[in-house]
Amino acid sequence: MRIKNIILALGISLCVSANVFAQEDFRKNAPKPGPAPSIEIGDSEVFKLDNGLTVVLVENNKLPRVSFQLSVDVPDFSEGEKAGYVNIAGDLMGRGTETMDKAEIDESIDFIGASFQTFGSGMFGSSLSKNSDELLAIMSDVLMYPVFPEAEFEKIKKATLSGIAQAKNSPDAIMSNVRRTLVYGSDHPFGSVETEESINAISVSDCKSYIDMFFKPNISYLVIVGDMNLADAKLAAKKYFGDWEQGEVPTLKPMRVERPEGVNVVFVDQPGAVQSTVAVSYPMDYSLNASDYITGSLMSTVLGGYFGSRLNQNLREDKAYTYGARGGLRPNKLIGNFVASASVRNEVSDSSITEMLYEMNQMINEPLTEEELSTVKNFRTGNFAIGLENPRTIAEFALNIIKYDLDADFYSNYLKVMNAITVEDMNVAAKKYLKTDACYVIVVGNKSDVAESLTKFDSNGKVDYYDAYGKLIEDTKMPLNVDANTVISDYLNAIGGKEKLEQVDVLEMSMAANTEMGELEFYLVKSKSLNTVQKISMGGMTFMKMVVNGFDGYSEGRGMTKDLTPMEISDAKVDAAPFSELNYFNTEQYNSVKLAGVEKVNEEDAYRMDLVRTDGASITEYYSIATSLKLRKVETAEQGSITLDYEVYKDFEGILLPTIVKVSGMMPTPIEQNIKSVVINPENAGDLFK
Amino acid sequence: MQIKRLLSLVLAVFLYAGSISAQANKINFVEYDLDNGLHVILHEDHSTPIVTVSVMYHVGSKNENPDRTGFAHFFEHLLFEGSENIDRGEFFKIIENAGGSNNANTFYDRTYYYETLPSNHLETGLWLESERMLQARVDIEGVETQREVVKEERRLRVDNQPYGSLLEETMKRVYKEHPYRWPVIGSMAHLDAAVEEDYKQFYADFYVPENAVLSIAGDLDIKSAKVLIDKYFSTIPAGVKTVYRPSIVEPPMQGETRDTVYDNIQLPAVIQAYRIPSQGTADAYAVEMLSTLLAVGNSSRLSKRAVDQEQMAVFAGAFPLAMEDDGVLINYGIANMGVDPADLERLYDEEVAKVKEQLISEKEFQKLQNQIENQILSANASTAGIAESLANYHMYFGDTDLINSEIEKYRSVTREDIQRVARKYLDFENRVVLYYLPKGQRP
Repeated sequence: MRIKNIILALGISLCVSANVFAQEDFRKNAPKPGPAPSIEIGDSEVFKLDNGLTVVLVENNKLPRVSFQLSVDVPDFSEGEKAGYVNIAGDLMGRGTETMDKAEIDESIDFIGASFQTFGSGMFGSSLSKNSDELLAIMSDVLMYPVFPEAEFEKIKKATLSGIAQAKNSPDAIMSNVRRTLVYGSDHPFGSVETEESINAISVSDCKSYIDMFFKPNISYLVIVGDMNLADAKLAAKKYFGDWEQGEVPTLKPMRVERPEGVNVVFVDQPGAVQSTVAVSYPMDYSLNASDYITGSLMSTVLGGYFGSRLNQNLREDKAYTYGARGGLRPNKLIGNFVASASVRNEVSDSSITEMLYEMNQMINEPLTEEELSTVKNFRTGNFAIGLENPRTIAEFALNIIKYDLDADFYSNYLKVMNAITVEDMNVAAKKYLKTDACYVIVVGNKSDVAESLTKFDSNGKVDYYDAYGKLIEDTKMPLNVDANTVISDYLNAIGGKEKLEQVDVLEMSMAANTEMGELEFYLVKSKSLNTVQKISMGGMTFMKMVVNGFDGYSEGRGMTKDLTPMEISDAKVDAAPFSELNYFNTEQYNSVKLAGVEKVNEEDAYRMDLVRTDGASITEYYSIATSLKLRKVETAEQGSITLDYEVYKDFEGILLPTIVKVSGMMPTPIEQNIKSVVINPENAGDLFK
Repeated sequence: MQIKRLLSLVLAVFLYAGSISAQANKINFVEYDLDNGLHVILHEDHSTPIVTVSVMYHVGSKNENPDRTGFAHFFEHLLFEGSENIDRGEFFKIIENAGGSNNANTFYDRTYYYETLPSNHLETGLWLESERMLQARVDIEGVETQREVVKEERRLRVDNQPYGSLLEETMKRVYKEHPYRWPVIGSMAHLDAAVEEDYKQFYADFYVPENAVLSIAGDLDIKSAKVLIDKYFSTIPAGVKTVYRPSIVEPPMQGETRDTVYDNIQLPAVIQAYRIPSQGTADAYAVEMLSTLLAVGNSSRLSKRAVDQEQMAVFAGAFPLAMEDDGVLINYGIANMGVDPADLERLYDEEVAKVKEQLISEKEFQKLQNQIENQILSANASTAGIAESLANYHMYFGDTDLINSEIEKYRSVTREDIQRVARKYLDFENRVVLYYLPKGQRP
């Protein structure tokens, strides 16, 4: 080592004397690393109390602090109709004992600058080592003398319900709900999802009986990490947890998990989302005690476990679809799963799934190069060493060996086993664990932008729609005797009748919308002769005005006036009729008008109509089944798509018109137009188009 | 039995009421300057065979041209594109092949890069960082790729995230003149409009050794590390002009600003942002303790009352953003379902008024000191954390040893100081109040 340094030092002095960094040849290639340091896992101690509590100690004196993690190894079971009570029970347990109320517990914890939380599966506390007695006294008191105060229960319930409401807008929370119910089934311990309903079904006694039944020392582990030696740990464990009474814990039957058949595409609509969260997922038997656990884990790293992984290189670095893509196997004793996921921009949702499936198939069909295998082994080896800096890693290793019944040298041999894995082993693991023909493809995003493009992935060519809590939204059955003609004629009848609508030669409307800049005013004239005026202004200042009259037309804006080209004039006329629905079945204007099914618009059942206009634009409209009124129009052209929601229809001289139009898409924030005035067949109509 | 248990708990709590006395495990380090102005800090610790190599550049969004915002953060992406000797896309591969992990971050005042590596790869880290400083690849191809990635980052973190725009919306109202007014992630339009020359110029202006701190912590030998540092960094030329540091002083706020932001959220939020003095000042330490009093721990004043007692909020928080120039203290709360944000705001105002009117008790003051002590003694748990703290203390305060002595600054804050700074800065005239409301409530 020393000699090498001297040689290096000489090398440098030579370079410096040359003093031209362009000649610094040593820069051309990555320097050779020194000999690999030996990686040693720190010591841990394990002992057991008379009541069956297993204690794991990892002593580390670097900082004057110590932490205590108490984990109760509760057997997996389903919370059923009361999903959420395990979490609530865990929280409630820490909110009052026979001698301290919540405020006193909080005060005592904060006073020593400690942290303390209780969960459905145990509790965690950490403090400076000089305060460990105060902290342990509180933990012990909470564990053995909880009182489950009713008032605190109500507070937790309220906060949980607020959390559920909040999660409605979190794509990640929605993805987690939906993915778990799909992968495991809603009856499975891992598949139940908290809803408003399930939280409201929980009582204090549910919480109390859960803790009474499962919180027993004989199925629990106390993990002590930090500035505490073995003798003190033994004393402390005995003093604070020795009186905890052991007891019988019910064992529960494992549940079966249904594997997906074929590829099942699932969509969760999140209107207004600017990104889609996409995932490929399925259940998979994969646990720490699987004989090929380390191979599966290494294979996961190659696919999506580090920055240079195939998923991230493809979706982020090559295509810039996302800020990051990840994927791999997640182990679990009962049943594990596979998930690959990314948040991507709307328009590349389907391409992202294509690439994810492509990378999975590549892993299955093509062997890795030796170079890639050695890169990923190096990465994992180094990260193993970095992980050991945190004493909690060492505690976790010790705990896993006990919980999963692993060989005592599982972790000390880990790197040796990993480094012996071959290209063939990896390919075998990929074939075993990656399933691109039997999986869920899940997308949380903006339905109008994204959903259609996903049908191609589904084995049955059908996208299933789910709500934010993982519940299938059943298709509403299409009534008999309904077709595109009846939907449109019902609509025309509902707003005034064909005869009356055909008498409208000119329709003049003013609308206003509040925006961040101020109130925008819109002025619009439509006519049967397809002459039209469109104007947008604010506080009397015109931003844009366009007038089309016969074959002539001009536009004004930013103080400039210019004539419209014949192309612009014909574009403007496309939507210039007062009631374009009267012309839907005129083949010169519309290539096709089809009834595409029944869907929900803002909770209301509606007929979905798909139209293709002769100028190439595709239009989707929704007509209420109950009222026959048009609820929404989504128009998609090359530049993007725009959504108009029609609300609050009112009568204007015997014709119903929507008084609120919400416009979204192709602009930074949606706007809401409110009708200010409507004039049907104004007297001076001819002058309007000058 | 029960009474005895109660007594022992009470005693345990009160017996401890001493003063802040413990000494953090001292962090030893050496530091020096190279001739080109690069400041070097080394910390040796052999407990795990790993080393963190980091470089902190004294450039953040505040150094940007107002027409080219987002550059500092953009460089945090761009400078992973490689260098004269490192091919495009190789930067991460080299680190990962060495078994390392790395990251970078940007804020208003600085940009920070680091990699943690097995210690036999120290030289690899030095090579990478010296290439980044000397001859990074700044070209249009890399710019175009990273532009799209940054746009996705913005969608992910700001646009598609409930309350994701909180800081951006707050800062643009607190600051009218100072560059803290624009968001660190910047304007996507500015990034689109910028040409290759703009990017090259920014690199030449700010990525120079005299504007950087090289901070290395972990399993290293100081003597041989110095030799390697010399090899890779001493020939990097210093910049040709003085590094631009904005001298814009934000004028005092002219009364309270109130506004509403409509976001994709379900629960309303209330944000009260007060202008506070810059970091390192005596008042800034007092303000930090004040914010701890208000919202750190379940028994803190805002959490206890708003979340626990009156259940008006699902969460109450306060974070002091003390920065190089005058910063902000952001007190915020996310309202419980059905709670009028105006009621929540009233509660916050009452709690602030209480601090101004009544001196805090000795006991509560002791709790504050214990909380701060705990926080300081718990820092420095990893080589990555130590390398960053050392660089921060040097860059911002020119006093690296604050890593060991900063606790004294907190100790010198008195109860009266806390009351005084509450009166001085937590004033209605000195704040922005923002309501976040669900989009559906837009009038």
